[in-house]
Amino acid sequence: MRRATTILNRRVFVVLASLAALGTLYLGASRAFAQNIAQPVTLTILGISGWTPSELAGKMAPEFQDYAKQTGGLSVRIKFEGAPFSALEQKAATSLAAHSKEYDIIISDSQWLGALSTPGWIVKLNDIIQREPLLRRAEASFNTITRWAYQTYPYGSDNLWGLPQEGDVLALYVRNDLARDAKNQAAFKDKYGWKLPTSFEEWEQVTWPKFEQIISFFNRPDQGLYGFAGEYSKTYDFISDHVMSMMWMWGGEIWDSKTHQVYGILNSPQNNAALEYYIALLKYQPPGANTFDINGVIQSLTQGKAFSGLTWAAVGPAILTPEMKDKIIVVPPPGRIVNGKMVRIYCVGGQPWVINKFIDRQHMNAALEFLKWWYLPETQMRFARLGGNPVAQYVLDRPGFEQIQPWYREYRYMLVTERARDFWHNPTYASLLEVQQEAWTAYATGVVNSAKVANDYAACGQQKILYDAGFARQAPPSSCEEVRLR
Amino acid sequence: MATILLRRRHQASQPGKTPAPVDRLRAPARSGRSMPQPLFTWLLIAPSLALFAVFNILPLLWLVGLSFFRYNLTFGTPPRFAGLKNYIDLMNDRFLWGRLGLTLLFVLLAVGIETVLGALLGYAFWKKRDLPGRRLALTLLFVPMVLAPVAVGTFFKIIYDPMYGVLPYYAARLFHIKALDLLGSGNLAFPAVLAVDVWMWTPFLIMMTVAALGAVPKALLESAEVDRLTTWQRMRYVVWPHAKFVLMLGVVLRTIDAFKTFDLVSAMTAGGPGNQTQLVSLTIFREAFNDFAIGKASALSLLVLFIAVSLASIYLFVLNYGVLREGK
Repeated sequence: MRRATTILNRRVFVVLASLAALGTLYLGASRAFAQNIAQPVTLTILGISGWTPSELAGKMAPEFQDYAKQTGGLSVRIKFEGAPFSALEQKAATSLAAHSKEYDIIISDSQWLGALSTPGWIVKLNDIIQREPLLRRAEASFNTITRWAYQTYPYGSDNLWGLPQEGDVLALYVRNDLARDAKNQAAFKDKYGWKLPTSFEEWEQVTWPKFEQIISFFNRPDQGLYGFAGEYSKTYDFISDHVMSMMWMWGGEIWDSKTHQVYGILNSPQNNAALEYYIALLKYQPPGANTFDINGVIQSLTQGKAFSGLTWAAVGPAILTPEMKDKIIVVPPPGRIVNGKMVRIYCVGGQPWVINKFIDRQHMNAALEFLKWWYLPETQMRFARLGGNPVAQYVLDRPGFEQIQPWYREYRYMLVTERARDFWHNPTYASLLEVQQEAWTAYATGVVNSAKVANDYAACGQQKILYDAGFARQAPPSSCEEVRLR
Repeated sequence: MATILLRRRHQASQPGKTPAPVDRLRAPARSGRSMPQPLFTWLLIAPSLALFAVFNILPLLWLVGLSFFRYNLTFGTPPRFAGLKNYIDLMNDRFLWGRLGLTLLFVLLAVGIETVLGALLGYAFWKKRDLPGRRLALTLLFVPMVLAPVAVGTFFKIIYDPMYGVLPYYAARLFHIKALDLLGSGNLAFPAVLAVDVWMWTPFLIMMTVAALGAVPKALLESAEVDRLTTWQRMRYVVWPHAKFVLMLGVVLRTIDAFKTFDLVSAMTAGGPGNQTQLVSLTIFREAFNDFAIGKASALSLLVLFIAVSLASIYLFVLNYGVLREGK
């Protein structure tokens, strides 16, 4: 009798438990269904954490939410997720490789367009741009370098994979309070025989040899002041952006973009000289500058350790703090006289928006609405006022644009095809970058003491990467076997 | 449960007591439908085995499989069977052997220094049990070990900073060393990272030493004292035979762990300057999540796994050598 009761109890328990489980499932499913209908679409943006222009996208999101509701009756919620520069593509690529719908829009770096588009992870935008008048209008306004850098793969082709989120250029931040000081002016003129520049126009005429005189003049370690701060870090592309800029100005190239040949081009005598020159500038920089990243340059300037610093226009808000904004001016970085003409070519910065190919129609529509809103003149102007770098020419050409932010004159001056250039938009981008970062930081830190060895190492490594991947026709020469970094 | 069973067995072995039948030690039968013992055992370990299979065995088999394929995530081509090509490429990679050599040097120095320091400090703590504040000191000593390596790496990057760091500041003030640049120097970066690893993991070996010395029976130590053995004799014949297993377990664990060092170095130097701190785990990470060369990264991971298992096996063989010889 007792046993029968136990079994009965067990059966009742099993039935009740099953009913409870089914009930929970039913409630959960109906709730989820209801949420699908009533809840807004959540648009997730993956951007760069700690990077003002990227984070502004998240900050400006509520304005888009209002716009979407008013114009199309769309209920959209924006979620911003960030990753630092060095981890952004790992996060994006691993998610996209799994065909995940986790991120709807990604703020990629321009060089990643090849790596993201080749496996078919991102949406090709040509047709969409043609279909949407607002996007077509924005697209028509971008200048050539903007289109090449933030939109195309292969670089300079008609295949559009991205739309510019922010533009960026390298800028020289200078302590104008020190330059304008009468004593410094007189002493400099006595020593070098020419006027210490204090205005944008005067800095426009400054070449690297002249700049070296200036930073040498202000290099006063005994007073805790150094002439210059540049980027030399191994992390991500920090040293590369600067060294490649020097190479282009010294008349070199980093590869042949058609044949994908690197060996013999990257390790050319001009490039060896350019690398040597840039590393030699370390003698005018604060201790530890040979591992400086963007933050190292910012700190050197904001803490009054450096007279000048070369870094991105996008970090203007971090450098031009209330204490420093009246002391520092933002000017074009030095150029080089080639055949009697001033040549100034620097790496372009900035990032494009790309759209995840695996998201559903609802999210795709919301993403397109977001991008259309982004290029509205008022949105671009708002972005500018908050400290971002807009790219639509109809905003850049507005009267008074250059006065909105202290770096906008320089930004507009540099973001043109003859002064800004991007590097490989190739699927092997990360591998190519890694090997030259290793080589050039080895030279910057004295692991190798010859620019030629460093460039040979980078050229051999890159030639092998491109050959193994099937891009280059020529394998690295046998002499590469002997090239080592110590 | 185990304690109870042991107690029962102990009672059963007492003279004058009726030995308990083996059947009585099994799980009690219920409602006349007893579960067979092996099935009950398997049922108990099944969840752990399932987790182990899902999170260890299957990924490992997947890794083995991937290592035979040419597969790069960003090339847009499906994985292509490549046989042993990834392994042959690794064998021919002249830089890889340098990185493996650097990693072995790192393991050797880190574990060596940590073991010596850990053993000495552990012995000191064990010997001075009545030391005031001993418990607090032990607790504080373990703090570095429980911190996240990436956080430790970041702290030390700041501490080492030539412009703002505490260490270069005192080096300049006390020893007149100007602008000490530890992480930016090709010669100093490796020892600088090594020093942080030693700071972080020596407490682990202190803990293992204290535990190992705690395993020595008090009676034997007292006998050694009565017999007036020298310190060396006491260590060699009384302490070492009892303590060596726990201590060597610590060394084995540390060796495997040091071989995998990644986050500390990544945060401090990213493998630089140049390639001066490019340990093999950073190379695997670079292959997998920077270059997205999944096949090659898998092959390299297996190679490292093989080396780590070999090292651990060598340790265990050496440790058990005496026992094996006595057994023969």
